[in-house]
Amino acid sequence: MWRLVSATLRYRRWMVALGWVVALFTAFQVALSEKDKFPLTLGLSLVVASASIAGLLPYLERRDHRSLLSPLLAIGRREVARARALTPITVLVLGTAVAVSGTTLGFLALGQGLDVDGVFSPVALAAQLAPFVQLVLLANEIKVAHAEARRGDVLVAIGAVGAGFAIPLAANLSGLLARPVAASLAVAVGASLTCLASTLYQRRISLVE
Amino acid sequence: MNTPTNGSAFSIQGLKKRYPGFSLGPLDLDLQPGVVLGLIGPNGAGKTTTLHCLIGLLVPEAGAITIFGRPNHPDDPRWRQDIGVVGEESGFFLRWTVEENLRFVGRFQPNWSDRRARGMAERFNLSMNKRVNELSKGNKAKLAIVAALGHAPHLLILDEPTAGLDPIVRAELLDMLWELQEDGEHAIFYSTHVLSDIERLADELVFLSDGQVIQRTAKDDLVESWRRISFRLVAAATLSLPGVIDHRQVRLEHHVTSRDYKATLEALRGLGAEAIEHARMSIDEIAVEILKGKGAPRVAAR
Repeated sequence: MWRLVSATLRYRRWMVALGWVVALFTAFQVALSEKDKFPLTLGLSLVVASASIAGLLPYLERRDHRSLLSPLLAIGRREVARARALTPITVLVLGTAVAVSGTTLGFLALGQGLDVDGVFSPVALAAQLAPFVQLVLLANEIKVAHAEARRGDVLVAIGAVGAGFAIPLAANLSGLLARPVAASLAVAVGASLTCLASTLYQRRISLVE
Repeated sequence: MNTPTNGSAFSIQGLKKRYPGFSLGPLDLDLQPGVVLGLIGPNGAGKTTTLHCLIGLLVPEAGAITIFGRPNHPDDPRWRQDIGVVGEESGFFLRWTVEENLRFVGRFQPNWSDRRARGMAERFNLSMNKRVNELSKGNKAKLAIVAALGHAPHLLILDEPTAGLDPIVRAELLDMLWELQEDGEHAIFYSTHVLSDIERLADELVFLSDGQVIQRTAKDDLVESWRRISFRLVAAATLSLPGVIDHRQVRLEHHVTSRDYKATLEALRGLGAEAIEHARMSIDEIAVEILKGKGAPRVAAR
């Protein structure tokens, strides 16, 4: 499974790198007017860029008809399904790691000392974005399930996606949950949606796209 | 090298697949090692659907499929080690080179041989350093064949591999397949509507129309038994001849198409026909007659 994930990441590495360069450029632009905001802006921009690319990856892979490569590979459908669902999350995790490193280095470079809240802000944002990076993949799986007349799957998927976004949103808006708890909840939702995307792919009737 | 574990290269039993406006099967089909089986049918006959069910890209409504005795279960990748697949579209990484793509495929095939893949690419004049998006359609087809054969599978499944190729590249591909099947170990399942492709390669032919097998026969038997016959006959207002599927008459001259020319000739001699002449038919001509529904009663494949 990880061989598939790493191959996709290797193939898309220049796109990911370009996203990160754009994030860096954005942070520099902000730093021109407010130098102190550079570390935090850099971290958050890197996370947003990574999440955007992560969300886009399933569309790009589908456009290249990647699933037609699977008959050439001695690999089971379950592994393919897991790899497809985990690839966007992996991009987000990598982007978050780079963002935390960048934020830390930014604070140190500006001689501001380590602001723990600031350093972990990218992590909190990434946690909130985790469910969103699966949206493109899930939307496609729901479309396929609808086309294949798998009505039960469509209903379950729409219900799960709706609940997956409503629960963290309600928790955030109500302000009842502490920030780490809200972030953990969002991560749990992201993980559940990843499992859902993988399961829907495994239940497909046709892998031709 | 893989070792086939069972008699049939593949076996399809009771395969059914339905789409709105189209229904495939129930289909029974098998292929023995060393045999090249051509799957022939017009567009929309169900050739690609059959192949997609065979290679696990489609889940059928009913039926059992085994590859060298192993069910083609989606979560058991072992049966995929025995097959090589070439389709019209292959899903390669377009910005990677030929070499990178082959290396990628090789990582997922335990019996992969870089040496074998390189040798084939060299023989095909396929540059390993070119990106896939820089390759011509013919070279993409060559890459697909090299990727399908790099692990020395015993069953090669081809779905219209020469579609859109120029005659020279097509001939090169067919030469390659010809060499491959010469050792008698490889089974090839070749789906096409370009009959000249398989005229040279195929041992047996399966004709598919509207999702049903209408005939399965050895190619040589087919070529041997089908003839166009012309003769002159004075009498007989109504003529009923064995094997004849088409009959035209201009005054005393008769022209018939027979799928059992020996029986037809014998009957004609019995009737006292004169100036009997018969000529072989091409596979194209025979296929057209069969697919028009004249060639044979509907039968299940063996």
